[in-house]
Amino acid sequence: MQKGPSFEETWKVEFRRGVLQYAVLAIVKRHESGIHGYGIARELEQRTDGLLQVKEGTLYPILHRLRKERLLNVYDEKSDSGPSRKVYVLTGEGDRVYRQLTVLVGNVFEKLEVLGND
Amino acid sequence: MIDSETERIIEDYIKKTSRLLPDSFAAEDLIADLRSHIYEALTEKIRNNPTESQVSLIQDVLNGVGTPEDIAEEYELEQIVESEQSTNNDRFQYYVIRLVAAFVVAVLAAWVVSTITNGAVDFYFAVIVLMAFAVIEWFVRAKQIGES
Repeated sequence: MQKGPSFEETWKVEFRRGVLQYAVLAIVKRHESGIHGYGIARELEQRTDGLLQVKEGTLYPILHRLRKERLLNVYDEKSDSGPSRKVYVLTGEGDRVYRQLTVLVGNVFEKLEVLGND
Repeated sequence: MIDSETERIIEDYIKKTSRLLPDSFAAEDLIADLRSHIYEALTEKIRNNPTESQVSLIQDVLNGVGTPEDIAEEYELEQIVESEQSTNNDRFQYYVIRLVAAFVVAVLAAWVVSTITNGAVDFYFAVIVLMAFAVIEWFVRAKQIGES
C-alpha cells in the first residue's frame, strides 16, 4: 500500500502557505519604490535561506490575490531582458494589514516559545 | 540573445500553464508576469554561466519556477479562498433581502385586510401574524430542501 505524505510534510505545506502571503507583504514593504515578481522571489530565497522552499511560479497567484484584496498596487516597467514586467507596491491598506499582522505574528511566536519552554 | 530552441521551450511551458488556468484577464495578467519572470531568471543565468547551454539553463529556471500544475493548484487555492468569502457575503445579502421583502409583503397585506374589514382586523396585529407565518413558512421550506 502506498503511503501518503507524512504528518510533518503536510504540516509544513500548510504552515508555508500561511506565512507566504505575510512574507510577500514584508518584502514589498521593504521596497518603497516597488519590486517586481522576480525580485520578490530572489529576496524570499535569500532572506529566508530557502526555508520556505517556494516554487517561484506559485508566487504569482499569491501576488494576484493580494492585488485583488487591494493590499498591493501594480505598474508596468520596461525590462532589459524581454517583455515588460509588473512592479508591485504596498497600498495604504496593505501597509495597515502588514503592521497588524506583524504584531499578531510576534505575539503568536512569543506565546508559542513560552508554551514550548514550560 | 536567447536561441530559438530555448524560446520554444518557454512558449511550450507558457502554453501548458495557460491551458490549466481559467480563460480570464486575471489569468492572462498572471501569465504575462510569469513570462517576464522566466526571461529575467534566464538572462541572469546566462550572464552568470555564459558557456553553459541555454537549453540546460532554461531547464534549471523552469525547475525553480515549478510545474504548470503547481501554479494552477496555487491559483485554484487562492480562488477557492476568495469564492468562499464571496459566497458567505452573498448568503448574508440574500437573507437580508428576503427578510425585507417578507416585511414589505406583510405590511401591504395587513393594510389591505385592515382596510377591507374597516379596521375590524387591527393593522399591527395583522403585520405580526403575517410575519410569523412568513418565518414559519421559511423554516418549513428550508427543512424540505435540506437547508440548515
